Amino acid sequence: MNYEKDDIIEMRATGQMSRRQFHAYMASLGAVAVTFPVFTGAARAAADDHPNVFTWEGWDAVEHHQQYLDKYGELPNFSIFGDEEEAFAKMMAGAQFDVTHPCSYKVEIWRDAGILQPIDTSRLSHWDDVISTLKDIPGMVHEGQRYFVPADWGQTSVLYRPDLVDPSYLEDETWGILWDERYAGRLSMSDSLIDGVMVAAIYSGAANPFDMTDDEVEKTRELLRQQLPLLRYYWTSPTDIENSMAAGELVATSAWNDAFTSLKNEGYDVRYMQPKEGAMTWVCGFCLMSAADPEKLEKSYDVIDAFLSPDSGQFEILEEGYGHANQKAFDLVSEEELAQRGLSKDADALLNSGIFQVPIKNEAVLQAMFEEVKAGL
Amino acid sequence: MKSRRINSFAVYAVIYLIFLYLPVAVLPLFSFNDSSYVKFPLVGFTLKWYSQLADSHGLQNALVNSLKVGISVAIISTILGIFAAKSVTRYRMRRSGLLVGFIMVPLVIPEIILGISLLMTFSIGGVKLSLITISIGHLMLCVPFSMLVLISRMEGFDKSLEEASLDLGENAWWTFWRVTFPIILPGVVASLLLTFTISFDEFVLAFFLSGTDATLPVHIWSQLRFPDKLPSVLALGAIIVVLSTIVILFAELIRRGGVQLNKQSKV
Amino acid sequence: MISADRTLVDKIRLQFRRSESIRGYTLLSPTLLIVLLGLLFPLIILFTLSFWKQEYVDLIQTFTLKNYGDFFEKKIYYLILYRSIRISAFVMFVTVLLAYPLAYFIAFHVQKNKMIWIILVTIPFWTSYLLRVFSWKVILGYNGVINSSLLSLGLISEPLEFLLYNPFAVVITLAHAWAAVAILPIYVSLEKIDRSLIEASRDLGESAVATFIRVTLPLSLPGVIAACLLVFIPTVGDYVTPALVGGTRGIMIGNIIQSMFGKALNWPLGAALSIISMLTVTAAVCLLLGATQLFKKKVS
Repeated sequence: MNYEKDDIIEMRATGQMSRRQFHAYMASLGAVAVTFPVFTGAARAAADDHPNVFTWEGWDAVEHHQQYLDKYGELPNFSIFGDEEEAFAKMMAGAQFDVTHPCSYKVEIWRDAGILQPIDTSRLSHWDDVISTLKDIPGMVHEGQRYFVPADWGQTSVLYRPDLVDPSYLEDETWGILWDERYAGRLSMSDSLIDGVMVAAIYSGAANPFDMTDDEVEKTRELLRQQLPLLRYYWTSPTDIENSMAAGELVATSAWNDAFTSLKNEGYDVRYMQPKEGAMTWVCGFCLMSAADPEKLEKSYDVIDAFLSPDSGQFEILEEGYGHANQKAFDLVSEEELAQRGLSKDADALLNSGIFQVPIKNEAVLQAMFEEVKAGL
Repeated sequence: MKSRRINSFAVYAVIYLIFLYLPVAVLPLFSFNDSSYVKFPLVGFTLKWYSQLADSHGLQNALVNSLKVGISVAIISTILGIFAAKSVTRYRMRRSGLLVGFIMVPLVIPEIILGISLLMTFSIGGVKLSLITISIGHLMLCVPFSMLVLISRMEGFDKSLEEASLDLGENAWWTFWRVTFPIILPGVVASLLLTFTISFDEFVLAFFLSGTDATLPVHIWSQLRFPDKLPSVLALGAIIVVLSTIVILFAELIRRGGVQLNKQSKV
Repeated sequence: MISADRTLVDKIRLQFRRSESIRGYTLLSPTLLIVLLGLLFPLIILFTLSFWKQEYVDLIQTFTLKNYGDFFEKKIYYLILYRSIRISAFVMFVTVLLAYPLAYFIAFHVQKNKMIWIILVTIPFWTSYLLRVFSWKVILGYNGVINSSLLSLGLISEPLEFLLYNPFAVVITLAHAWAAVAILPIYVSLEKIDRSLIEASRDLGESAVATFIRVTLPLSLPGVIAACLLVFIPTVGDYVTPALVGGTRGIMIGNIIQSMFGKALNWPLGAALSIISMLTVTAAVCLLLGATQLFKKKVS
């Protein structure tokens, strides 16, 4: 031991940190590193021989995949996205999955981008029970081949607090409530083209909101501009609006059915409009990706089939508040429970009553316009 | 006079800590609240979110994944940071500014761009998405952080100490461990903590570079969308805070015990 | 023969020892190599993309400057970029200003258990950024911590709405989110300061404030600069925070870039916008560094 050198080190090492202390710190850091995983249990390794499903949060619930679980004893692998745009960006950049779950208005562009492959519905045991309207959605069959299997559906409409708005709205339901200056700072709108900008387009009276003329786009822009100062925020997730509706921070907002169902379940007095201009209906479902592993194709079909089963549908309706593609699922739910969720046995009628969401023709132009509005231009 | 100044700093420190911990304190509060909705007034006491948490394998896996990625990224990026910071502060190099600038580039690139372009690189190269690809992305992000922290520690480092050690016959390896390292240690610890924290918390890169193994932020991002999932995520946040505090206090106790033993043996 | 070889080897070795450049680069090379490997392809992809254009789902691979032209022609892009830089600069200023006294306290006033303090400062940041942002929404929100307590104290009769969903909320949330990143480098550089310098200054009759400005602050500048850079640069490109707490007017350049890669489906324009934003940030950083050089000179 060279004391001289040691002294130098001791002296210069900021006067605080001796080597002994250093070893002690290293040991404690090690303790932190080691103890952590112990408390949390071992990670479950993803099984390599099951398909990778790229889907929305919630759709990975075991209730949707019971049939698959019964058959194989394990669940497929899930990867979760928050919205279809980020999912699309990820897949376009080369991420590979077997099965994915967009909504119908996205299918065309995804197919054109070359990331989807055709689906053989004869390999699905529940296909015959799928509501016929859902089978006939335009654009899902291309050159004789089907690219989309509908699975769940719902509405986009106005969710509002009857105790906080003018009673006249209870009689005369309209999207116009989202432009009512009396509720400035207490309104919200979806931060998206399909559930946000299209609402303005419908309210403006555009002949076809999904394929607008330049004049109609300008009208829509004007409406969005008028609306901007009235909004508390543009919502990006159901959590935002549900919390705000519960708190009374918002009196009305555009929303999907699930928000209505969950608020009702928690005992809040909210209503879901059938606006005179028309609510929007949407369908989401399964696509097979062209990058899918051919060896997992059989199991990929089983993933889709399991989701289409009546039991999965019953769970969807009761717990998530959405409609399901399988007609038989509705037989497992009472009329009363359906009505509570704004649904009915006659799914066809409900689907046809609203404005059905289809691909937006000039998406890029509208997005640029929306961004300018949000930037205050 | 002097003692009063110390007090005012201490008061500030306490206020600052309250600012830091205020959002953290909200988590446990609502994790015991018997409602999906996070708002005042509180409804009632429940433990159901914790039992939901215990059943949620997705959340637990994500936590373990994040720890794996965070710990390895912290160690690797700090080692790389030491190399870089040492070379920059110790030697006068021609045109080093440009190269150091290059190492800093990942800081300037918007994360979404870094994420997408790294993903494109991986898919061109046929690399399967996994925790390793996430770690590589985080490494890019963390090396500049580590380097900057260490440079600020090593700047003005007294070269003669190392030279003295070499002159006294120590080789370069031991000189590093016995002279350089103890001096830069506070910087190393800061770098480890900082890079771990950044990786543990990073969402955008992790979203694009993850396969079916999600990290905690990616998982939380998806859970945040649905109110009935949220409180158990809050519960997890609360557990992380409490657990890490306990572990650190425990480690500190061990350390103190160690120091005391050392002192005794010295006597 | 043998002796000639030996002298050659010795020469190389000597050259190696003498040349600071070579030794420095050798030490730098592992880090540089890894960053190079990780960044080269992404950067090439980014630059190439920015000179292409996109039609629907197809990338048109012919050289064009249209994307850069768009930036200058359409008001929205430089307006938002300017706004982002301003917000980030403000966040940086607030964060570093708040962090400095704490780092100072830990470095100079805490005698034992400094490490405990350092870790205490970092623990809140292990709870996931998204959760902390969410917590801020709860604190600042309509029925949040602040409003509820003010209401119950009878200080206000209606909840304050200006607390959330505006640039103010973005600044608070970011200043909180990046606190550790600011504290650690400042602490590290304060810790390194030779206490005898400060004592000498005090012995020479300088006041505490003068000592701080003339001795402590300049010596801690490397840490302050590091903190500034580490806070400022990444916040410019952030898009999650503005989306979550910024309200209708909170969008930043990161949101626009994100939308180019998503909703607007115009990757080349997104790439061009990020290159422009990277260059702007670099220029801003150079300005900052220049200013600190000036400050250093003035003080000394």
